[in-house]
Amino acid sequence: MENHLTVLDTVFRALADPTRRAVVHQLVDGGPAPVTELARPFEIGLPTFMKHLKVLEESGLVRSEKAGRVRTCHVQAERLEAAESWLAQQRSLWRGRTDRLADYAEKLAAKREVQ
Amino acid sequence: MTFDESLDIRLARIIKAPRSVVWTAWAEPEHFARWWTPAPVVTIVDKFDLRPGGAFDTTIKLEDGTEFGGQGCFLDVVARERIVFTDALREDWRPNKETFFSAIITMEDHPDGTLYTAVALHNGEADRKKHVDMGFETGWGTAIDQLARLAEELAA
Repeated sequence: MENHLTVLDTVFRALADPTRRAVVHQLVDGGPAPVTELARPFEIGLPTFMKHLKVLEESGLVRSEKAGRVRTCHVQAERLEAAESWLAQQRSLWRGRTDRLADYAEKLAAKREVQ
Repeated sequence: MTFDESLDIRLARIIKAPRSVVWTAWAEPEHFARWWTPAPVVTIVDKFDLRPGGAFDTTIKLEDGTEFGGQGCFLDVVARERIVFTDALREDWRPNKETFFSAIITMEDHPDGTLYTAVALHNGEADRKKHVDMGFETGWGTAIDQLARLAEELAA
C-alpha cells in the first residue's frame, strides 16, 4: 500500500507542472513523439525540457526509447489510470484538506500567541 | 475499527498548533469553511450542529457556479478529541438514500503540537458514485486537468 501511494504521489507531483502536463496531453492526444518535436512548442531550452522529461520518466508516466539519433516518448496509460483511480482521488482530497487545516490552524495559533 | 485498504483512507499529520486551536479550526463553521475546499472552490456551511445526530450540511460551489449539496450528520463528538460523521444519515439519524462514507477525525497531544488523524471508510458502492459525488468529470482530457488540480493541492 505504502509503495503504491508513493508512486501516486510521484505521478501527482509530475503533473503539477504546466509544461509536463502539456507533454502528457500531447502524448495522449497525438501518440508517441520524438523529444525534439515535443519540446518545440515550449520557449525553454532543450536542457530544461530534458529535466521535465526526466521527472515524467521517473514518475513512470512517460517512457522513451532511442532509435539511432531519435529519442521517442510514449505515455504509459496504465500509470495515468492508476492515478485516476477513485481511491487515489479520495486520498488526494483528504490530504489536501489535512494540509489546509494544518496551515490554517498553525496560522491561527500564531495569531493567538501574538494577541 | 476495521480498515479495508482497497476502500479506506487513513492520513496522519502533525500540526504545529495546540489541540484547542486545531479543534477550533475544525469545529467552528466560520473557520471550517476556510480550509475544507481549496480556493477558488467555496464551502458554504448550511448546518453545523456539532452533537451526535446533529446536521452537517454543506454546499460546495465551483468556480463556474456549479453547486454540490450534501447532507450528513455527526455521529460522535468528543470536544478536542474526536469527530465522527457520515453522509449515510442526515439530521437526527434520518437515513439518506445514497451513502458513501464515514469519517473519523482524531486529535491527540504531540510534543510538536497535535497529532491529527483522518480516516475515511467507504462502502462498495463508492466507485459507482465517485464522479457524481465529487464533481469529477470523466474523459481523458478533463481527467488530466483534474489530476493537475489535485497535484497542485498536494504540492501546496
